[in-house]
Amino acid sequence: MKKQDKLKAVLLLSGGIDSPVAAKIAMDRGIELVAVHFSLEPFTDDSPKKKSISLAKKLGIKKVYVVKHGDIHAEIIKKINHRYYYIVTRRLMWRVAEQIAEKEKCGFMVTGENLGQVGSQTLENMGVIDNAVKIKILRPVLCNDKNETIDIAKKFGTYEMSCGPEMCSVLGPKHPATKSTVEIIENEEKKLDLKRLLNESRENIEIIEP
Amino acid sequence: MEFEIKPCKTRAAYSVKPKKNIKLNLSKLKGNFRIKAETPIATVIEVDGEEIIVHRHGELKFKKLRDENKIKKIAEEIYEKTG
Repeated sequence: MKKQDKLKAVLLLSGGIDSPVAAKIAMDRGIELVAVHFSLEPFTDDSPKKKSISLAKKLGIKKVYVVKHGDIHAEIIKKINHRYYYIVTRRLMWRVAEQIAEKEKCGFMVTGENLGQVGSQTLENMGVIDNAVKIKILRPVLCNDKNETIDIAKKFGTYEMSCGPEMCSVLGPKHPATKSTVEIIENEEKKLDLKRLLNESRENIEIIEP
Repeated sequence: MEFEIKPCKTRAAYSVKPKKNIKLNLSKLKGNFRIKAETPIATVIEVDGEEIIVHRHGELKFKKLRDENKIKKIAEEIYEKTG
């Protein structure tokens, strides 16, 4: 594919294997990235945040927005049906990222989502998550086989960094919903004060230049 | 209660898991420990400056502490208060 000029996107950077690979693929197409990392502290330690910053540096990303979201996720869990946790929280994170994209004049969003890799990452759920925002979403590793992504990560030199110590979040349900609808999720969201949660997310942003 | 102590998969933390299936009463942490954050699924507490995530199914995650004797002592106290 021919490199394109002046494209800018926000990247959702988790610190795992997939999102740095998605980033590298996008950057190789000439896309400039601003990273957004959602930290679930205190329900994890600071290792995902540190890894994300190191990965951003390795990738040559100049700005990382770290959004402290642990307390917000805690509030969401108390109010919604736990099975929909991943979908509701992702919709909120997408909205926050969309606002950052607007501020940074980014035309779209890049994610490391991979179809079927985790129970919640189904086409149905992705459609429901996309519905929360207007921004276009690019998923460079969506249909990759995991080993394919690992091979690319090893080639790019991000694999070892992604595999470093990381404390997983304990907040997810044992059996997440694999099929949801916009109607179901919007009903769950009615239990939340989304406007306030969005404001609180914005107030908990730290901008880091790796 | 019998439990096992070992580093978790990526060695980022120490994990304590009961050998039998249990369910903890997380609300009993209040008043006994300093609470940093809470949900119905897990509560984050602080003991002697160490942050610990207490899962309702009994798993404890020690974020920084690596002293297994101290981990054992704190785990016993948590299980005693919430079991």
